[in-house]
Order: sequence, then C-alpha cells, then structure tokens
Amino acid sequence: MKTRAATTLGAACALATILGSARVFAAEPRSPFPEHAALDAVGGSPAKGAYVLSAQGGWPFSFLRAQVGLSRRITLQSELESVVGRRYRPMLGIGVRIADAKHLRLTGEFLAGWLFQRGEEYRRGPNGELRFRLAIPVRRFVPYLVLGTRHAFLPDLLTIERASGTETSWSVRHEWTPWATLGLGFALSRGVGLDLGLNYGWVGAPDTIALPGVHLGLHFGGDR
Amino acid sequence: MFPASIAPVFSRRSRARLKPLALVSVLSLAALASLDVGCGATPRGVDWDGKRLPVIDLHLHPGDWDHIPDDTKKFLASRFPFPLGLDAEAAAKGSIEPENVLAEIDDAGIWGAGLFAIYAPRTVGVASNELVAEALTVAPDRFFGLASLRVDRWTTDRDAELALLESTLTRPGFVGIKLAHAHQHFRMDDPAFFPIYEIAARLGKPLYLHTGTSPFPGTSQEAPYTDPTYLEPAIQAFSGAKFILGHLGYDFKEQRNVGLETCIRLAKTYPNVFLEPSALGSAGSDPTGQNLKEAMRRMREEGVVDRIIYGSDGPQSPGFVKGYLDRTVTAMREAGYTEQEAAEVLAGNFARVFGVTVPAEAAE
Repeated sequence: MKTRAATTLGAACALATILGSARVFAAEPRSPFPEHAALDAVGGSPAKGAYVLSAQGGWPFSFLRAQVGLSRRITLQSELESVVGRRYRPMLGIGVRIADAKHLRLTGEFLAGWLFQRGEEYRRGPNGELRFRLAIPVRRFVPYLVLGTRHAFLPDLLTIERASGTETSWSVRHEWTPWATLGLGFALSRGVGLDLGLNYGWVGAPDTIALPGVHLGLHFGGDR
Repeated sequence: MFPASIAPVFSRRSRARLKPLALVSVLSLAALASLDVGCGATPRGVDWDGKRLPVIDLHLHPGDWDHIPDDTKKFLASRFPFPLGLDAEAAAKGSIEPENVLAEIDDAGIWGAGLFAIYAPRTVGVASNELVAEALTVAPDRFFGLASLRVDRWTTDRDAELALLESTLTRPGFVGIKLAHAHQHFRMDDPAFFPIYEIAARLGKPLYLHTGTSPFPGTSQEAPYTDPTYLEPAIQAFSGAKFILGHLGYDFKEQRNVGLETCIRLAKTYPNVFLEPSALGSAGSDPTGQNLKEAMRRMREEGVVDRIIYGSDGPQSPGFVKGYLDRTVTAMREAGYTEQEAAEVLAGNFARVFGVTVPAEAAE
C-alpha cells in the first residue's frame, strides 16, 4: 500500500511538474532552437552529420538507440530493445525523412535484426520492422506518435529418432507485433532531451493478450 | 540551460500565471491521489440492480509449478499476457499459491472457491490432494476442496487409489471429486472406472468432470474422452451421484460450443446433472465474446438455470478471476436473467449441490 501511495504521489508530482512546465514555457516568445536532440530522438531522422543517442528505460520495454544523419533525408540507426531482460532485439536500419516542416516531422524507418527470447518459450529468429514516426515540435515540447509493424520468423527444428534412422524437419512460425507509442519529448537544451511515452506492443497478435508499458527516455545529440 | 534572453520573459509571465499553475497542480495531485483512495477493499458480491449477490467460484486451481510437464509449462507461458509469460514460473507461482488464489477472489468480490486436485502427469500436471488439503487451511471457511486420484496405473493400483480417494473425501473441507477424462486418458464410458462414481454416490460428494477438448499438449481429444454423450451410461447408472459437466463440452481447439446442446439435453433428462460454464468465455478461448453469451442464453431458454454452477477455471493470470466473473454477469444480463436466477447461478446452486451454507457476509 505504501508503495502504491508513493507511486501515485510520484506520478502526481511528475504530472504537476509537466503541467507546470507547460504553463511556464508556453510563455516563451518563440522556439529556442529549431532542431534539438529530443526532436531528433522521438521524431527520427536527424540532419546530415547530426547524431542522437537515446536510452529509454521502462516496463516492459527498454531501448538503446543511436541515429546518425547520412544525408539530408537518410539516417542510419541501430537499436537494442530489451523486454524485462528476457527478450532482446538488436536491430540495424535506415530512416527516411518523409515530411519536415516547422511543426511537423514524419519519418519512415525500416530495421532488420534478430530476436532472442529465453524463458519457458525459447524464440530466436530474424526480425524486421517498418514504422513511422510523427512528431509535432512546439517550442521545447515534442508530442509524438510511433506506429509500426514487426515481423519475426521463428524456425523450429523437429527431430524424430526412429529405429530406421533420424528424421529432421524444419518449420517456421510467424510472430506479428503491431506497435504503437504515444509520447511527449522535451528539450532540456539543444543537445539534451527527455521523453515520456506509453508503449503498446501486441506481441504475437492476434492470438495473445499484451499489457501496455511506459518508458522514460534520455537523449543526447550533437553535430553538427 | 535556457538562453539569457528568455529569462526575464520567463520570470515575468510565470509570476502572472502562478495562481492557475498552482491550481492545476493541486487539482492534478488530488485527482491522482483519489485513484488510490477509491481503490479500497472490493465489496463482496456482484451488484445486480442495487442488490449484492454472493458469488462462489467452483473452479480454481492451486498448483505446483515443479510438477507440470515442460510442454504444458510452455503452453501456460504462451497464455500469460505478454510480458508475464517471459518469466512464467514467477507469474504462475504468483498465481497458483493459495494465498494468491485468495487475493484473486477477494479482488473479484468472490466469497468462496472450489480448489481442484488433479493427477494428470502427462498433460496438465499434478496438484495433489495433500497440496489442496494444505491450501484449504489458508481459508477454511471459504475454500472447498475437490479431491482426485491417479488412474494411469488402474490395473494394479485401482483399490489403493479408490481407498485413498475415499479417505481424502472424509477430511475436513473436501466437498467433491474432480476428474478430467481427456487429461487423464480414460474413457467416459469405461465401466472399469465406475467405482469412482459409486464412491461419489455413496458419500454424497458431487463429481466435477472436464468435458470438451482441451488446448493442453498431450490431451486425448477423441470423442469418448471429451464428448459428454459418453457420460450418459454413468449418469444413468449412478442416479445418486451428481455429475457437474465442466466447460459445457466446449471445443477449445475450434473455439465453438460443440457440446452445449448435449449438456443441456443431459441436464433436462437427468436430475443429477449440473452445468458449469468455466473457461469457454475467456479472452483466449472466446475471442469474439459471443460463445459464453450464447451458452448462458441457451441454458436459460431451455429452463436449466437451476443446474448452472458458476466457475472460472482460474486463477490463470492476475485479474482473470475478476474478468471472467464480469464476462459471465454481462452474459447473464444480456440473456435476461432475473435477480433470482443470477443468484442461483452465482452461489445458490453451488450451496444446494455441495451442501454449503453461504453466510450473510458473502455479499456486503
């Protein structure tokens, strides 16, 4: 009960702080900087030569991510996702800045990698993801939405030992994970930012039930 | 961190907006704090048009994770909501320990619960009579044990197993017998196992029988193990025994009410047949949410409400017991159950069949 009360109080304080900050920074006459680490992190596709490093910790998903702008529109990125320390997804991919305006950034990303899951259910196999990031920078704040579709292909080896010899056969299962993140980024400075987001990854859809999650992220960027 | 030019603006405007800011913060704190304040102890019973009806969940499983076969552990892990299945052992132990079963029914507002023993070492595992006896001590007034027995060495161990079952049924808190032909791999119509029904009749201990297919690896899915039609000879032969047809003959593989009409026919034909709609309405087994509603509606249309005994087949995962009760109550409301009928289903029929007195505090 004490833990719940403390959690509630902490959440209330955090919300009050955010609301308070919103009121305070709404007073700013203009955006302090057009592009910043928080925007590059949550909106994707930093400019050519710019980079952003992100660490997002939460439950059940946590992420480490690095993005480097290769050209005006193309970004190279790598990502490591962990789910409660039992499921990992190292990925490498590219991002493409699809649309960019003063108050909008839309990025498409494609990543490929490998899935490792231990526990009662071992899952290993190639994994790919297509996702879109929509960010709406307003002064220091960056509300953002990520929608994605993930596909993992899990090979199973079946071995039957008979008197006549051993038979082996391979089969492949498909694991589909629709993904959504809704969050809010905040620029502490041009090079440092935070974000708070709600994640919903429906792992194994549509035959499963998945719990939503939350993360808090810290982002560092530079060039530039 | 902020550019120097912004600082004066920040200071001047923030002072002007101090009151609204403070107000918003205080309101936010109050709103969030009220979430906890509002989440006190769950009142017992189900609200039915302003009246609280007591609830007994016939079908709950205490367990021992170490005695579950590996394939079944894997299956169970896949059934936990993601990501709980990634550490299925911790999640399962957190669910099937008797203290947690009690917490789950408390959270659902349920007063009493039947706890099942099971001996199915090749399918769903073993939850021994001793384990159930120990679990009963956690809430002796609210837990009711259903004993079971091994049948996989019937040729050699029959007499010893029957004697053990009989002695277990005389222990405090044991009110019935649990069998699952499909999980224990014996035919419903095999006379070799009829002595179990004879004990049930003689001791006045109702039998709970799993009917229908099962998603668990290693289950005997063929009709003689799953189709309640095959129970009819035993139901006829042992009119003094009460047969509770668990899951209404549901096909958990195809997720259809395959055995529902058979169960209803048996209940209408034989006064010693009762019906239990557990598990078939869960999110995993009834994705559309229509099968449980159809079952509750059909049973009422056919006039067998006085035979329905509520059960969930929990605890499965945190919140399942409460969720299943909510789904069942919704299905009853949509099917037009009266308050009296709902009261019978949720606790009255259990109390009558098992000879249990439901205290006033079961719904308050």
